[in-house]
Amino acid sequence: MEEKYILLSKNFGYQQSKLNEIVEYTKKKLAEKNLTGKVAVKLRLDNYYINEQILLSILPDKLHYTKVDFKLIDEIIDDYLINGKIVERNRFQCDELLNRFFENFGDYNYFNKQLRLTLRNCGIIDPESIDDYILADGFKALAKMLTKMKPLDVIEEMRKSGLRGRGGGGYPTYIKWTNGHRAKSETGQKYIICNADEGDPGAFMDRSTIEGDPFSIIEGMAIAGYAVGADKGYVYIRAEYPLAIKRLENAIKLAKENNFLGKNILGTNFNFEIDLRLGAGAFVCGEETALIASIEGRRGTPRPRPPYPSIKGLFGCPTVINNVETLANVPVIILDGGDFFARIGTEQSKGTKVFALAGKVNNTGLIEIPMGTTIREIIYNIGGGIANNRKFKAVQTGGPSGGCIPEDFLDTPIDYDSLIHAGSMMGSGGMIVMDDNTCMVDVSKFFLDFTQNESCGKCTPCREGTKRMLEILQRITEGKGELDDIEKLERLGETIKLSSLCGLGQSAPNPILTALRYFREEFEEHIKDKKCRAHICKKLIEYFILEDKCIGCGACKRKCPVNCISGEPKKLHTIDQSKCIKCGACFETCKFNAIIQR
Amino acid sequence: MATPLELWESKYEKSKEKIDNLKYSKKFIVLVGSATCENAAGATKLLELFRNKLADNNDVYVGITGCTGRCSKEPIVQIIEKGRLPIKYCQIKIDDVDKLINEHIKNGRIVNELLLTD
Amino acid sequence: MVLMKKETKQKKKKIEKITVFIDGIEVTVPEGTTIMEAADTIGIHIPRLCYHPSLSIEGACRICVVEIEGRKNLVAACAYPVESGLKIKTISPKLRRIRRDIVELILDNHPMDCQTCERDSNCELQRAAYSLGVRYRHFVGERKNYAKDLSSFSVIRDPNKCILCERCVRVCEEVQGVTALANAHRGFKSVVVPAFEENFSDSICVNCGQCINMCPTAAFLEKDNTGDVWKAIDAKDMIVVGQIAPSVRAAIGEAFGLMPGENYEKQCAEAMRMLGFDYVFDTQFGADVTIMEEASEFVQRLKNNEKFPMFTSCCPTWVKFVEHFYPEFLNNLSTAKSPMSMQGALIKTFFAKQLNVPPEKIFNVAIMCCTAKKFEANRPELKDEKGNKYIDAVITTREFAWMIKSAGINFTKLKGTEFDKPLGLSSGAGTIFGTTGGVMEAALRSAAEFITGETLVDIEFKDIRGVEGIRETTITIGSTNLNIAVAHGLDNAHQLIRDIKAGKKQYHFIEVMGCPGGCIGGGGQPYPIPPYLPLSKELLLKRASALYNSDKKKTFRRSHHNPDVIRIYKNFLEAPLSKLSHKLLHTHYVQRHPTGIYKYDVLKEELQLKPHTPEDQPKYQKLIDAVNAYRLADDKYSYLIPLLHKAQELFGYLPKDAMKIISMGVKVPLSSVYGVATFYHFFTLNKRGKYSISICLGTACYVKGAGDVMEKFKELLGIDVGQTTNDGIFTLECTRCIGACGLAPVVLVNEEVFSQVKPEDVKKIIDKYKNLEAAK
Repeated sequence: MEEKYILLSKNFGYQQSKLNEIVEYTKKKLAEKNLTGKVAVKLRLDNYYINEQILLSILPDKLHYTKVDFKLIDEIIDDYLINGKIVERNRFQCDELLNRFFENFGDYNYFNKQLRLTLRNCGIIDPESIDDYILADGFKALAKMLTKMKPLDVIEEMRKSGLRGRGGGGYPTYIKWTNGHRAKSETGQKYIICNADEGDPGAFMDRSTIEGDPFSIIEGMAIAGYAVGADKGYVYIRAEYPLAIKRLENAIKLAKENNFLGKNILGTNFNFEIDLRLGAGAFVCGEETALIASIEGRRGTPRPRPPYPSIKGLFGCPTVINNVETLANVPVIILDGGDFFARIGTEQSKGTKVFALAGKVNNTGLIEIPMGTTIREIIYNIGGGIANNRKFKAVQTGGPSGGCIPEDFLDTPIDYDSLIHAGSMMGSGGMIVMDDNTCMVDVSKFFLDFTQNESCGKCTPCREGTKRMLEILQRITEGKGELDDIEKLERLGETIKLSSLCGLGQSAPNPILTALRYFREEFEEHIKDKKCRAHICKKLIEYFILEDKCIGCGACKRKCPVNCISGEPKKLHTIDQSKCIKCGACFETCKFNAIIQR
Repeated sequence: MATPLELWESKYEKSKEKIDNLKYSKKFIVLVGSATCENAAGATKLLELFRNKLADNNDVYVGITGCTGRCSKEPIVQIIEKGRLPIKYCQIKIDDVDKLINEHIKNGRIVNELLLTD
Repeated sequence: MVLMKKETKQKKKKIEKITVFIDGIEVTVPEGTTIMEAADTIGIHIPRLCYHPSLSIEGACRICVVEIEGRKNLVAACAYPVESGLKIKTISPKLRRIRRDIVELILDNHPMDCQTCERDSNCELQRAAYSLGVRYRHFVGERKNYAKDLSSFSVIRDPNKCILCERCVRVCEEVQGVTALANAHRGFKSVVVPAFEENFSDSICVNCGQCINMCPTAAFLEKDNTGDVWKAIDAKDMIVVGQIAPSVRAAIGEAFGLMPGENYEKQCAEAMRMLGFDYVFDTQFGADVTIMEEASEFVQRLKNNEKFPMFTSCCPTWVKFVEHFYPEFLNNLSTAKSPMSMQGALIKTFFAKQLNVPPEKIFNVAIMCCTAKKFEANRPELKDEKGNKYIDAVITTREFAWMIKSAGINFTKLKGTEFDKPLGLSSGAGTIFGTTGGVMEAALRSAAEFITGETLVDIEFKDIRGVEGIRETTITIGSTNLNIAVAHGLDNAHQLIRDIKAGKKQYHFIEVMGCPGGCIGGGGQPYPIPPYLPLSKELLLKRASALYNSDKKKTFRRSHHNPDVIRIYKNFLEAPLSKLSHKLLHTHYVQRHPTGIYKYDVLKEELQLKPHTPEDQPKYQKLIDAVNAYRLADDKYSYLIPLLHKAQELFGYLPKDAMKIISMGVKVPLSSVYGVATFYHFFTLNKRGKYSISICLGTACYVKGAGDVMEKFKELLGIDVGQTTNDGIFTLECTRCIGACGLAPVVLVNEEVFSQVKPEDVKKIIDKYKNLEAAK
């Protein structure tokens, strides 16, 4: 393995071709000097931090240069790499964030396409040590704010940043804060709530963030509290996350001891306390009004809005609710400025987004990418492509509220609006890759089963409608689908979407409607031909014995629980399809691959 | 009176001193991933082993860090040697701990077969 | 009452006017008006089911959805306050289609038995289905299937007919302050139940029957006792004697399509005779006797200066309410029986003697506005010394109307007849018993004259009339100033008692009626005909006016002037509070311990009475300590879920007693605690197995085959998700993502993680723990 890395990246807006030339030149030059194999050249994501042109870093030596050109490459290789003399021209001191990232992430291919703002400290600091966090400029944003900024300045910075809620809806954070700031409270009490009730199946961004960097949530909440005028915050966190709870409790305790929370924070008259409330296993509690009901000790059912929580929320007081990822971004915005943040991402969606990349992809994991990265880049570059070299079929984003995006949309840049255009949504950040072994009817059923199970039962369309949709899908996957079932699904889907009380219901039909949009023929195949091309729907599988492979050993015949396989020893066996219960026992037993599913 | 920022800076200095003593003054820093996912993959036991086996070694700091996001490669152990590129080992099993200590920490040899490559 | 509260609030604030456009029509309404209310003012009736103006906004049924120009989603008109300039569409083919689909969805989970349903032709769901055009059923599938709860003497609960509008839950909580009912479980399995889904009769229900009045369908009905009455009429040697409560005559017309506001007492008497009653008496006579006893009791208490305030005791709902929630006030209740029970006792003693028949030969029927009277008639304290009931059957106004219809009698054509003597003549004081404030007014008419010995000039106590939730006044009788209060709707009673206990208020005499409006708003009254709604002020005032008008026309307006009352005292009872009066006309009360009493000390006692296993005892102590830490906090409700977590942590599940302790500690009704505990999947009410096998069904695990793994576990363990094996070793559960997607599919057994599990690994996993157990 190489001893040193030369990392190259270009700055925002800089030409790609120029960078490529520099890379090629560097590689050539290293080869000339026989340094290939000792020094590696790596590319990383465009750099948003330094307002210069091409950036070069030498690791592990932490030497950083800007305005890189051929001449500088020569100097670095000749003077430094060969003779050990540090080149001072165009050198600059890199900020801490960049440095720490370079120091700690060795797996560059995975990380170089990423930009870590939310997860800036995850995997770097010791999440149980406040000193570690402070060394990573932790609570500096809070201190800066308390020294120099008024609440409205904070909100202005948030406005400039363009940060939108990361919980799914994408509502601009500064508007929530402004409403909360303006809202009059009869008792003077206002609240900040951190929504850490991450219930989306297959998403664990919030858990990872809290487990890896609990302090940044606390700092974000305190900043929000200052901006809104609240002195009390609640973190509503899933009870299924004991470690995250433990880390958060510890972080709150340490922050209090260090006067970053509590009364008269850092010598000012700003007070802020944080309390934990555990969720109890209800996906719907991710909805703001349901979450409030749950903290108040009631069933987590949503209520109609208006009044919005920022006007009338917890215990009837103005309440601003932000999700974990949103709050984790806040210290970055306050410390580095809204303008900096707004440079990252697309026109309408600023900053980065964390995704839990999972499913049939080689590198599953937690990634953070700048908005505007395409789905293809995520799956094929960061994710390393589809596992087992199978064929890509769809990628699911937005969890049970989103949809499955087919291959045609792989070049969709990730942002709130283009995902909605593609029939899905950003959601909280689950990204599940599916290959051709996945049945889209079955996946639709899976998501509907989830929402149906999680429906709170308050409003009719969601409670009754999702049940009926699920029954129809169940029927289709069992080969009992009827011709008008698709029409029924669409009709129910529209009613549920338009008339449900809360976001859960309004988005519950999305996975099915999107699947019907892109994979309609699979539904039709299930209904008309009673076939499941992915061989997932058990009742639609036909087991068949291949004439040229069967040696007549009789193993399948002995295994069959309903005695529907017949055949003389050493002769071709056959399956009586009318009696077969599709248990698959014969398929698993046959050592000669003579039995196929079709 | 000191401004909040000045107060923060003095806290920063204190923290720096503390962490320098604890961590950065050591020749090796061993960081074991510690998160629900890492623990599910067996990181808790690894941490315990590293701590026990290196308890008497003053050159090494053993600590934890959050999940780096490499779910499919967990548990991950980082070994950072002063002045060298940080090394990540992946899918470490209990039996690998001795190897890492003996090879990497005691002899400075990187254990290639456990290396996290992309 | 919520209705009243809303009005007083509006008075204080200066209200802005807002102009909106509804279906193109410009409408100007006060700020805070909802779209539905605004549409009502211009004659557009948006369909509705869960909405009721006297209750809080639910926004759940969704059939009132409307379009707002420029909005993607529809909004519920009942919940959305108008905003200036909104362009709202309430009529469109799309809206009609969606509303129809929603009603169709409700019907698909509703029994198809309209023809035999008690609410046929009087059902809001049926009306909505018809008017929105549900003609076919497209989505028939699984349907709920619950057993009817027939345990209560008064109210039958049939969850199969429930459409989950929660009007019953809200009336029970917001108007009655009882909260016997709550929504439990969640999603498709949501169901409105008493605490722990135990029998209604064991719950804190006080039998008021307002849930019946509020229900848009037949999920709540009174217990039908008409069968007993038909049978008695049929029996040759039975003398069927009837009595009829004042408020019945003020409302029964509505059951026959007549507008409220008229008194139909003579028609009632005639109809009873036609049905085959042998004697037709009037509960108003009993009311006059009640006043004789109660007023005398009050005068006696005044003399002795003891047991203030004195509470009226005519209302069985109120009496049970005190027995549940305020046993410390049992001695403050007047010992006088209710008019029905006095009348019943007199019929089976005085009248039986007059007829010279044994009381067993008399079948005593009471026609009441009230469902709680059915319970009252069965109270052991109200039976004779042999244990026989004085009242054999209580039927409600609604049941009475059904009997009339069933017999083919055209009620609207009846001319009317008089009641029989000697228990049929009444004073105006007896008449006004049927409305809130009436008993107090009647009592004061007599008590004032008993005390002073002088005749009252103005016998109408206007200060205590009306429908304000709590009304109070101070009157001077002789040299004494008496503080008087009248409350109706039990939440108002809560308020009154809270004030008394806090020392804020001091009263001498208080009338409480459980139902809003008093008996005229009783739980057994006919379903009002549109445009009237149950609980509405307009309806209650109309019904009350029927009684007040009759009072005005009466020859005698004071109970002690009723000549037949004077006669019965002279010939039979001797005097008020005499020995015989005490035996026949007075009663006593008992503290009750239904499931879900609030009293903290009572539970503590209960816990000590039946000690738990030695293993559990310290856990309970820990829980009580935890509860005590939050008992007095302002936001104690918000500790409900943390305390449930604590209990589950201690016991591994939520035992009923733990929920009781928490309920009392944080002052959340037990039914609500149960509703919360069953809502959240994290809580379990059953003991778990030694090993919890939890299969992750997050998306990542699912696409990698967790579903098959789950099936294998189900097959090998022979249990479904959420169940525990019979030997108590394994519980099977599913979780949604534990965040170890890289290891998918993941199975957790207690704390231990199994990664990349395939169906063929399942047996190994199970065997591992089975062997562990066997080794022990």
